[in-house]
Amino acid sequence: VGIGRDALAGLRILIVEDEFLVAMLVEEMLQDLRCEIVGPISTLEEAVATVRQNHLDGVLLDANLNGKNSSPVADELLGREVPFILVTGYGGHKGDPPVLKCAPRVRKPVNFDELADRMMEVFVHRPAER
Amino acid sequence: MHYRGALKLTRKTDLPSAERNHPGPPVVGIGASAGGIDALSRFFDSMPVDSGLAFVVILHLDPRHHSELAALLGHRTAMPVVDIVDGIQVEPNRVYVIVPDKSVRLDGDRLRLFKPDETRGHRHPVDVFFASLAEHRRERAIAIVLSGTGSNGTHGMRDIKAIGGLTVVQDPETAQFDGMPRSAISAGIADHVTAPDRMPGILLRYARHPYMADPDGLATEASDAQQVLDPVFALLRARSGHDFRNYKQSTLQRRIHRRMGLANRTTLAEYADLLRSNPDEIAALVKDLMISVTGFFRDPEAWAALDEKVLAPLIADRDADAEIRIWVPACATGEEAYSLAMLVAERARAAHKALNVKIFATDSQETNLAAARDGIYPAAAVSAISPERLRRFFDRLDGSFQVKKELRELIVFASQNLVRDPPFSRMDLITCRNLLIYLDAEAQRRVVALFHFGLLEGGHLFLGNAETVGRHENLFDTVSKKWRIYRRVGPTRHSIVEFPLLSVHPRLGHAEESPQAGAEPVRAAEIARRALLDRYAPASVLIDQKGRILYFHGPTGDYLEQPPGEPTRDLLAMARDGLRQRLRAAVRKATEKHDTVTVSAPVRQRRAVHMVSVTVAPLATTRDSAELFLVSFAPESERRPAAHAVPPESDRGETDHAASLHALEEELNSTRAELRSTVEQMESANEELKAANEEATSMNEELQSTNEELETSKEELQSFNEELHTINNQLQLKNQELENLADDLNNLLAGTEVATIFLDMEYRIKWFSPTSKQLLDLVPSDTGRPLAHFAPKFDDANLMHDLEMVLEKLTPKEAEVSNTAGRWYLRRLIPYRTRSNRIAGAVLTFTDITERKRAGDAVNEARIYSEAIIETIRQPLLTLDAGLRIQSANRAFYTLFKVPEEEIRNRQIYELGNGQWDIPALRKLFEDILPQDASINDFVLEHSFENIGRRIMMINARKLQRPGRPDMILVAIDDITERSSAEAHRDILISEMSHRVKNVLAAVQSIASQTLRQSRSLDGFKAAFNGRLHALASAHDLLVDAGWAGSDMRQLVLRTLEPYRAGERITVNGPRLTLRAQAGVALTMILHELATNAAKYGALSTPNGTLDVNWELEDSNGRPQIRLRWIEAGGPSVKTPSRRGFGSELIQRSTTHELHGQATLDYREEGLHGELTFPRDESSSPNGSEG
Repeated sequence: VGIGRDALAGLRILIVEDEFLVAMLVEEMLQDLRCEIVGPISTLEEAVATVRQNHLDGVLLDANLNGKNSSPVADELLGREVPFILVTGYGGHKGDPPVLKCAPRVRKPVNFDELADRMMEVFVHRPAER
Repeated sequence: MHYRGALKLTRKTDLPSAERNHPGPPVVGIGASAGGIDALSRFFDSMPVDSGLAFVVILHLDPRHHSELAALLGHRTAMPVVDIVDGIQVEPNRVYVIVPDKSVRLDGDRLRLFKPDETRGHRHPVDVFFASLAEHRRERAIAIVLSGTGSNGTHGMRDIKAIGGLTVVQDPETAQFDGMPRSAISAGIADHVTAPDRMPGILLRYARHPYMADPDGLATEASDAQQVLDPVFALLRARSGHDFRNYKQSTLQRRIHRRMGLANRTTLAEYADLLRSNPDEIAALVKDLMISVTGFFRDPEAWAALDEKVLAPLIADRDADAEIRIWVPACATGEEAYSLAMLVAERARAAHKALNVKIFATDSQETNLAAARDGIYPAAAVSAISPERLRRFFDRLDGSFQVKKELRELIVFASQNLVRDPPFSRMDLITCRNLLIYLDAEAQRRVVALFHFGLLEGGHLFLGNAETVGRHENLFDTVSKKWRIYRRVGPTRHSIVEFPLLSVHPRLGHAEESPQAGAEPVRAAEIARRALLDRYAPASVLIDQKGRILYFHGPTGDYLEQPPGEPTRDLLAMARDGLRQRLRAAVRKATEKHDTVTVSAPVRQRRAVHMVSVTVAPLATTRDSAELFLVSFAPESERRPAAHAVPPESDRGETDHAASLHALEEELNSTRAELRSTVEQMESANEELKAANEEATSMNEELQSTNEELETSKEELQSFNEELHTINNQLQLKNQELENLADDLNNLLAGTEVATIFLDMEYRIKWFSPTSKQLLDLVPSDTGRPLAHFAPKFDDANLMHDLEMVLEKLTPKEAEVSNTAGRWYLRRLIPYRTRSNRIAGAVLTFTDITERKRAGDAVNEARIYSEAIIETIRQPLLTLDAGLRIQSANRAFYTLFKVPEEEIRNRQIYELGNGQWDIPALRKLFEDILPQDASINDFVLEHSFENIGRRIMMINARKLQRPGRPDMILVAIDDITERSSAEAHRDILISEMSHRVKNVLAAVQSIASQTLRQSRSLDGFKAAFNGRLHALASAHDLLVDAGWAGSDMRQLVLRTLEPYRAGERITVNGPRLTLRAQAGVALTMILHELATNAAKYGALSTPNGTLDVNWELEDSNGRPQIRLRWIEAGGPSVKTPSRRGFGSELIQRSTTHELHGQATLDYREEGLHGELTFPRDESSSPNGSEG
């Protein structure tokens, strides 16, 4: 666990990921970062509902859920000012709806350090800037 | 030999020629060239083998190849056919064939072979043979010209025709190559023109005719042949105006006989009948009778002599602009005249003198003159002319030569018959070769006299080799005896000239009525009568009523003498002294009394006076109009003249004296009476004189007035002359203008290369341009022939019909026709209008439109090609004019935009479909961008259309620039709606793929991470990781096999369990179900974990263990749900595991997370009993699942 990552410990993080193997991996990484895990959730509807019902410090959002882009979830998150990171296999932003286009992202397969750094950046530093 | 009718044809035996006495067989010379074999075959096919004729075939053969001609012809006739060897004897009923590279001549009865002098291509072997045939067979020569090119044969045929042989020419219509036949026909020397298979009939008839047996044999029993021919001559005189009675009878007979042979008539009576009924035969006969052998520079040495001895000095003597007048009578077709003109032109040029040369060439036959004026001669005819002269004086036409205009202008061709018409006069030179030989002696004499008259003093006469001036040697000096050149001497002697115009009838009648006096036998009685007259008849004179002496008989010199002064025939004026008075009285008395009166009268002779007895006897004449008197003088006895002569001086006695006195008185009385009568006579004479004077005075008056009239007339004539002169000048100018115009026209027509033919109302060719020869086989002599006679070289079946239509309706007609060479012509027919707007025929023109036609065809092809392209391509295409109105659209356009064709034509593009094309972007495109750029490329337009919804269109447009016309715009519209969505879809697919791959990688990452976390050893990790990775890969295989659409559940189960299937201990049962992709992957992973566990700890770890996998579809609150059971048995006893490993966690979480179902694992003692339930339609409606 890198220095400074302690700031991540205890954050309530929702995992939205339709593939359980990936979800398991991310879950494992969050456990390592000592985050409080919500989910993982594999469908859009559940994800939106979970966002509405829970206090969340951040969301790791799969960009594509069962072949559908996850912009409804992103919209909801933006509306609620919940920071989120897109976990996606997409290399580029092409074809993404605008709401996803400028979102910070982590690419699959997930590198632990990258994920941790991005989470620091998005979930810890940015809200602090606000 | 006796024939029907009054004529008897007898053989004359006085001809010295050996050939006449022992004639060989008639020889038929056959000349042919290209296409000749066929014609020869047809000829011999129908030629009997026993005709009695010998045939010599002259063909143009390749000098380097052996000839099969004899063999070829041998198949066609039963006659022996042999190749000619030198010296072979000509025998009847045989065919002799020329051999390559040799010429043949007939020599007596033998054929001679010799090497031709001329180079190949210039040889005229047919001409050579025909010439020898004419020489040696004469009338028994027969010449045939068959198919061939060029003019070979024409020249030799002329010789045969001239000598009286038969000439037969193949009808050009039947000949494969019509050059040789046409040449012979246009020379006017063909007796027959017909097809080869008809020639034998002509030859046989001709050979059987007596003419062949004896050409000269036409005679009657009566000795005078002329009487026999008279009916023929009379017919000719009446119908053609030609009088042949002065021509040499032998020649005439022979030629008439020949015509009889050609016409197959045996008697003159029959022939005369034919002449009466057939004007053509008359024309043919006249032509034959007048035929003359002529040629350029015939007898070159004679011409050289003429040039040197006559022309050279003549031109040297003349001033530079003097006139030279030359007359060429009987010029035939002009060769002699042109020869002369060439010599004169050369001499004048050499002397640098612009002499005014006038050559009058005359002939009695208009056809000859027309040919001479044209001056067109076949190549054979000009062969005697040197190449330099040919170049200088002739233009080469195809196959023939035309005398250049400069030379033709030197010569005036005019119609004149030497025997019949008045002569030309004041000539420097007359050349008349080979005419006199056809005339009899009398006519020759007259013609030579005419030549004397026609020449200037010192002028020259040039005759043929066999001709002389004859009895008129006193009129001419001989300049060259050998070459028959003469010079006129002495002044004009009218007495010898008998102008034909003045005396033609009496003179010609004379020959008919009475034979020459000198030729009559003098009979004995006449001799006696003359002797007696001379001896006993007194000197007498015959006088008429007026006292003019008509005839002297005997010595009248004693009584009559010519008084000084003008010669007189008045008897009284001539009477010697003393005789006059008595004579006058006696004549008067005899006139009055109509009786014989005799008086005595003294006559003074040489100072002596003799008495003479004068008897005036009126003679009874046949007509009462003119009474004649015979005045005879007879001397009286010598006594009385002596008494008279000596004055009475003697004194012989009274009686004597008285008698003398009486005599004196008597004499006085008589003198008185004489005086009285003289006085009376004088008075009456005086009266007469007075009257005569009156008459003379009045006549003088008349003469004076006449003179004045004449003066006036002369002035009038002079002014008239002036006028004529002016008109002549004008005409000359006009003529010049016309010539220029003609030149312009000719150049125009040559320049435009438009073949032009003028036709008259009967479709005869009036004129044609040289270019026309590409379309019709025309030669200059074809003018006047009907168009239909020519086989056109182009394909135009409607020509004659169109011609009729044009002349009927007077509207032009056009058609496109192609010729045999594949070129295309625009054929136009327009009426030929004269300046007076009369229709005088039609103008036929051919314009070469091959290039245009080809270009047109190419354009057409290009158009068809492009239209096919336009119709074939699936993109809609539009053509717009400059105003953006639609000119055309292709089918794809109508199909795509669902608008009917008739609705859009000429509509502006914006108006289409209720203005659905009125799109601002399009307007900008067409109105702003296109005018600047020539094209628009790949402009994408998205628009909602009325009929077809929202579409994305790609527009390409080009301006079609057309010189001089408004631009067109070609617009291609490409409906790329589908393509755009396909591209978008592809992008999505790629993203999806990327997503999946990354997801799979993430899954692998996860598997690796989890497996690593649980493995106790690296080997354990390796086995577990490989197994899981393999299961994952296998799941993906299934997905890929099914195109990522979903996987078959049974397949999935079987494949996953495949590594463990030892024996039949695993049973798999369940309905066929398709799982969505993600569910398939999850299930595979779950089954893999179960199987791995079973293999490690469960039923599959022992040989006796069994596994049953089954599933079913069941209903769960109205939704289909799949229940899968995993039942192990027969394995080691099972204990619930102490902690949850990755395997069971994966099973649990995967079922809930991805299958959205439930998993229960029941670790029963006998074996693991697992059960999975999950909704079937999870894939289509993920909403339905909870948690």
